[in-house]
Amino acid sequence: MDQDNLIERSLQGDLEAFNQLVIEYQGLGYGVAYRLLDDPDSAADALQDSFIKAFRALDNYRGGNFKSWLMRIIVNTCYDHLRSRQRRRTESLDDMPVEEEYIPQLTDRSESPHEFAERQELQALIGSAITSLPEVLRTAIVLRDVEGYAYDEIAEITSAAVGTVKSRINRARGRVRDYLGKHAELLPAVYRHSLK
Amino acid sequence: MKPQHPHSIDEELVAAYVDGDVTVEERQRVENAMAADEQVAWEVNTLRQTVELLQDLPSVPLPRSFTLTEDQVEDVLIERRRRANLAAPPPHEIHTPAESAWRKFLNFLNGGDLALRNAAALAAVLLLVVTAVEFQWQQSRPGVPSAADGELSSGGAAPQAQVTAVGGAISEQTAASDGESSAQTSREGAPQEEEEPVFGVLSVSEDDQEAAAPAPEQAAPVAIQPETNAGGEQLIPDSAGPDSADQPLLTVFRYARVLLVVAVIALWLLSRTRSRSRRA
Repeated sequence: MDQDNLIERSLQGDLEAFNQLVIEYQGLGYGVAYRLLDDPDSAADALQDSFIKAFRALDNYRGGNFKSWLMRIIVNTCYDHLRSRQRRRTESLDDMPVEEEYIPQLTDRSESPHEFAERQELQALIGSAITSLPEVLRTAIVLRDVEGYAYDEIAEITSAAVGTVKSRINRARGRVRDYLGKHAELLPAVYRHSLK
Repeated sequence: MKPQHPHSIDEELVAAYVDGDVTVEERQRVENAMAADEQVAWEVNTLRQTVELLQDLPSVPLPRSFTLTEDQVEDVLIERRRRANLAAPPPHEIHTPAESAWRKFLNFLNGGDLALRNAAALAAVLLLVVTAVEFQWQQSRPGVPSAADGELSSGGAAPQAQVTAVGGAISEQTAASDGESSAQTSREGAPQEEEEPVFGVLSVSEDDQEAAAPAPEQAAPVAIQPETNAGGEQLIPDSAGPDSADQPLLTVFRYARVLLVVAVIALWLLSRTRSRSRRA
């Protein structure tokens, strides 16, 4: 189905048309939300809010790259959830997470339980490293290195110049590297030796 | 000790180099800097490995569908649908294909109150059943005339005779060319030819009946022969009426038919009336 046609129908009150767009982009959106928030429940809430906001704001969509327009809404909604979560954490110590959640899925069924546990720890460590970044750096590195967006797409999503995007990506990578270097025992041997 | 920043190349170029998004010239610049400065080489290599770690992160499975429900955006939906309806052309400007006569007829039949319409349909079915039973009953009793026969019985005998007489006259004309006796017969039938011959017409005037009355006597010996019995009498169906024992049953059938016809019409009209009053 033509995307412009779906948007036009959505503007006329056809919710099914908009839901076809949701189905097309929910996978990409959830991946970004999950990496930005590092929490599946928060990511789901943020993504649902994002689609509702997008439907309401569809009148303001002026053409162009719909995917970038939608991802900008998702990223901004994730920022809102991050700030809301930070406020709650400062207000109540009970809300502090006991342990980081990560995706318990096996990509290699031949690996031993020990290897599986190490891989899970490494993924959790990388997630923490991303979460430790300021919002703009976090967004840049997630969109580029985790989700594979092009520079110009990231520039459009974040409303920044391409040069700025490249700088942010480089700084974000450097900070993640430094964060991981503090937990060298969890890193692969090759990477650990390179950091020395 | 780790280097803080590569001084010979800016961070935008380093990022692009790590991503492989550089020109040949830019690539050469970075690699020259790496060769000249060990810290630059460390920086670029560790950044590249960091990117590899990030890219190895598994894709996140979708926990559920995020499609929206009407409740979540009800106010916007109402507003947009209202706007869409306002933007739509007025009904008289919408060119819809003309409704076929058959479709109009079906819509007409399907209109009205459902319960009363069903009752009318039931009455119609009963009417068919009664008619069929009556027809079967009459078929099994050839002496009992049908309702149609009864209705036409007042003028049935004479015209039937007349038709037979005319038919006889025609037969005489056909046979006239073959012999003298036939020619005589033709002369006897001549007065009939001056009038318009009527074939199989039952409803005729009294004058016609009177004119036709002598015909059977004249034409009977020649033309009616196949339809006469051994005594020369015509085989006209007996229309003397049903036996007195069958009369009540026949009357019941007739009243039932009339009642059912009235019921079908009344119920159907009532269903239409009730439907209109509800719409009003």
